[in-house]
Amino acid sequence: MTETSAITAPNSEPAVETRGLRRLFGDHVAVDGLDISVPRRSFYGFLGPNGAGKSTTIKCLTGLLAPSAGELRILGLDAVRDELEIKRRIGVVPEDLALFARLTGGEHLALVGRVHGLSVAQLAERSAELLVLFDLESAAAVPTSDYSHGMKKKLALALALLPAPQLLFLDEPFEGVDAVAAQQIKSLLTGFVAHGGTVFLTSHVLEIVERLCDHVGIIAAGRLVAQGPLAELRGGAATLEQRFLELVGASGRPAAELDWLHA
Amino acid sequence: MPEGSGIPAPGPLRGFLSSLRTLAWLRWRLITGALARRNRGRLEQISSTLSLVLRIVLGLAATGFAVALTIGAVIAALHYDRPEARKFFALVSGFLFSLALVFTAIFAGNSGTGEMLSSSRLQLLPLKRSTLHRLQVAAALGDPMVLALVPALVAFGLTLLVRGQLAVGAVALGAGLLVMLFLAAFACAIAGVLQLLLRGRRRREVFLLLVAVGFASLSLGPSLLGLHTHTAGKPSPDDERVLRLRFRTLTENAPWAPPVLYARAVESASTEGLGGAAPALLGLALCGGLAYAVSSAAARRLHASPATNARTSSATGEALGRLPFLSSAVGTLAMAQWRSLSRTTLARMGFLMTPLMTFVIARGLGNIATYAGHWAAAPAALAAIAGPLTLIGLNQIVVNQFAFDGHGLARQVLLPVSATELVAARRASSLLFALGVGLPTLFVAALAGPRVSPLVFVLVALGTVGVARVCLPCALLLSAMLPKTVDPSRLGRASQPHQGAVLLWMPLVAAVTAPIWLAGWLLWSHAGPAAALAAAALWVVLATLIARPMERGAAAAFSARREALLLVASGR
Repeated sequence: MTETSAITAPNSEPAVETRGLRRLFGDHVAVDGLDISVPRRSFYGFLGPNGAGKSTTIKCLTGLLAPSAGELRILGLDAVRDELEIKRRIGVVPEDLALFARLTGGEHLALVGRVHGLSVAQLAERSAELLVLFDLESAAAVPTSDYSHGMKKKLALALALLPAPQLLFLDEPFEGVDAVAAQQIKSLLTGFVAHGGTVFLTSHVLEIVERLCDHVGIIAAGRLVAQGPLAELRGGAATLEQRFLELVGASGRPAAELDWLHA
Repeated sequence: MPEGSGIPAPGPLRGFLSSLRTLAWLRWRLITGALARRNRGRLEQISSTLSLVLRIVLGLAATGFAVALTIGAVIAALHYDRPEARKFFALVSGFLFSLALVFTAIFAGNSGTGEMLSSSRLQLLPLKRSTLHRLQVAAALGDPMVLALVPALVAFGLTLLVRGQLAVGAVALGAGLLVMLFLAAFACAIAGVLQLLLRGRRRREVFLLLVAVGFASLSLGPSLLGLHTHTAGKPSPDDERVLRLRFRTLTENAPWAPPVLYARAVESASTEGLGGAAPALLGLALCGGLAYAVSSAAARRLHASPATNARTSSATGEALGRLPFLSSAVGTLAMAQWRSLSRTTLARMGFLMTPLMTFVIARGLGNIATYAGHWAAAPAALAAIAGPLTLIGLNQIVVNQFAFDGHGLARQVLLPVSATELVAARRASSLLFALGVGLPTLFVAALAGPRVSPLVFVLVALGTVGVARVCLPCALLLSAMLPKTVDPSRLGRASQPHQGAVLLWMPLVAAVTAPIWLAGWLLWSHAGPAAALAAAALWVVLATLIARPMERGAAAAFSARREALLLVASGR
C-alpha cells in the first residue's frame, strides 16, 4: 500500500483542490470552472440540486471521468500524473456503487484488499470487522445481485474503508441505509475525521450535512456558488436549508400550487 | 384521482381503444428506445447505426417474406379447387404456423410482451387487472411473427370470396382471425410463464441451462436414438422405412394441433360446407381459449406477487484464489473476472456446448467414415477441429469483455491498477476460460478418436494456446471498440455481443489457425511428431512475443475508451 510509495506529498496542502475544473458532455456543460478546496481532516459536504453536477464532480475527482479542462490535486498529488498513487490513498462510494453482480460480498472484499496489498491476516481481520459492523456476515457468501439496495450500499462503504484510506469520497452514502446502520456510519465517519482522515460527501439530506460536516460547498448549474466552514457559510440564516435555498436561487420561487390537485 | 378532477370518464369502448393505442405506442417505444442512445461518442454512434442498419435489413427481409407469403396465398386461393393444391396449402400453412409458434415461443422473452406483463408502472395505471391483461393480449397482435402472417391470411380469404367461394372464403377469414388471436394469447402465455420462471436469478439460470442442454440434446437425438448405425455401408431400407413411419405417425397423432386446424377448417369448408368446418373452428377457438386462460393465470400471479430477489446462501464465499506467474493485483483481478464470468449462463453454456458440439461432430465424422467405408483421417480431423472450435465457441465471451461486469467495471477502474494490468488480467481470465472449455473439448475428442496418438492432442493444445495468445488481444481491442450492453445471465439477443465484433472474430481465428495447422500437419508428416511438438512449443513462445505489443495496443484502446465502456457496461 502507501508504505512502499516513493511519492510523498506535503500534509499542508488541501486534501482536494481543483482549479477551473470543467467537464463537458457533448455541448452540455456539466461542471463549469469549479474551484474547490477541501482542507485536510475536514468533513466536507458537497451540496446541490438535482443535476447540478455533484456526481460528475465526484467522478472527475475519483478518476471515473476525465476532466475536459482544469487542474485537480488530491492529497497534494496531481490527479492525472499520479492517478494510481491517489487510488491507493482514497476510498470511494460512487453513485452506482460499482459492484460486480455475480461476486459475493466476501469476494469483493478479497479483491479490493489484495489489490491494495493487504496481507492475508490484515484482510481477514478487517473483512470480519467490517462485515460485523455493517451486519453483512450472513450475506458474505451471497452474490450482490441478491442484495437489497441498502446492503449494496453498506458493502460499497465497507470496500471504501477496507484499505484504510486517507480520504473518502462518498456519493449519497446514507440513501437507502436503515437508521441503525446510518447511525453507525455517522459515528464511524466522525471518528475517521477525528483521527486525521478527510471525508468528501454529497447528500440531499441537509440535516445530515448540517450535523456531520464542518465545511460545505454548494454547486448549482455546474458552478460553485459558495464554499467555506459551515458556520461561516450559514451566516445569519436559521438553518443550512434556508441558506441553501437562497444560494441556489430557489428561495424566491413562488410556493408550489396546483389548483387542479385540490379535491 | 380525487373526485371533481374535471376529467370525464371515457366510455368503455373508447377507454379500451385509447388504452390499446397507448400500449401499442409503448411497445413501439420499447423496441426503438433500445436503439436511441444519447451522450455517446462517435464510435458508439457508428456501432449503434450498424445495429440499426442490421435491424432495417432484417425488417426489410421480414417485409419481403410477408409480401412473398401474400402472393403465395393469392396463388393458393386461385388454385384451391384442385386437390393437390389443397394438399400443398395444408402442408405449407401448417409449417408456417408451426414456425410462427416456435418463433413466438423463442422471442417471447425479448419481444416486449414480457416486459409489459411485469411492468409495475403499468400496474399502477387506473385500469382493472383483467382489462390490462386483455389489452396486453390485444397488443401482442403487433408481434412481428403474427403481423407477418396477417396480409397472407387476409389475402387468401378475400381472394376466395372474390372468386365466389363464399363459404370457404368466410371460413378462411374466420379461421385466420382465430389463428391470430391464438398466436397473441400464446405469446402472452409464454411470456407470462417465462416471466414467472425467470424472475428469480437462480431459477432463471437453471432454466436457461436446461433449455440450452435441451436444444443440444435435440441435435444429438438422432445419434442417441441409433438412427445412424456404425456398421459399414449405407443405411438399410429398414432404417428408411422406420424414418418414414415415424414422420407419418407424428403428423397423424397431432390433427388437433393449432397449426393443422386452420388448413383443416378451410379444407372441410371446401369439401363439406360450413358445417364441416365447425369442429376445426371450434378446436381453434378452444386452443385460443386455453392459451388465454394460461396467460391470464400467469398475469394474475405476476400482478399479485411482485418480483423479489430472494437471498440464497448456496453461493460459494471462499476467498479468491491466486494465479501463478502473475502479480498479486493482476492475479486477483483475473480471478475476480473469471469467477464473475463463470457464474453466468452464457459461460456455463460455453463449458457445456463446445464439448457437446465436439461430440456431435465426432458422430458426424464417424458417420461419414462409415458411409465412405474407412476414412482413416476422421479422428485426426476431429482432433484438429477441437482447437478452433474452442476459440470460436468463446466468441460471445471474449469479444465483449468490458461489458460483462456491469457496474463492476467501475470498481476495477477505481482500483489502483493500470490499464496495462487490467488488460493483462483480462487476458489471463480469458485464457482460463479457454482452458475451461478447451480441455473438456479435447478430452471428448480424445475419447471419440482413441486411435489417434495422444501427441496429436498435445500438439493441438499447444497450437490452440498460441492462437489464443495472438487472437485474445484482438478480442480485447474488439471489446473496447465495439462494446454492447449485455446481460450474460440471459440467452438470446440480451447476451449477444455486437454482431460486427463476432463477424470479425470468426475469420480472425480461422486466418490465424489455418497456416499454423497446415505447418503442424506438414511437420508431423515429413519430420515426425517430435519436430512438430518442438515447433508448436516455439509457436507458443513466438505468439507470446507477438501478443505483447498487441496487448499494449489493447490497453491504450481501453484507456482511450474508458468512459464510453463504463457507460456501456452499466447499461446507459
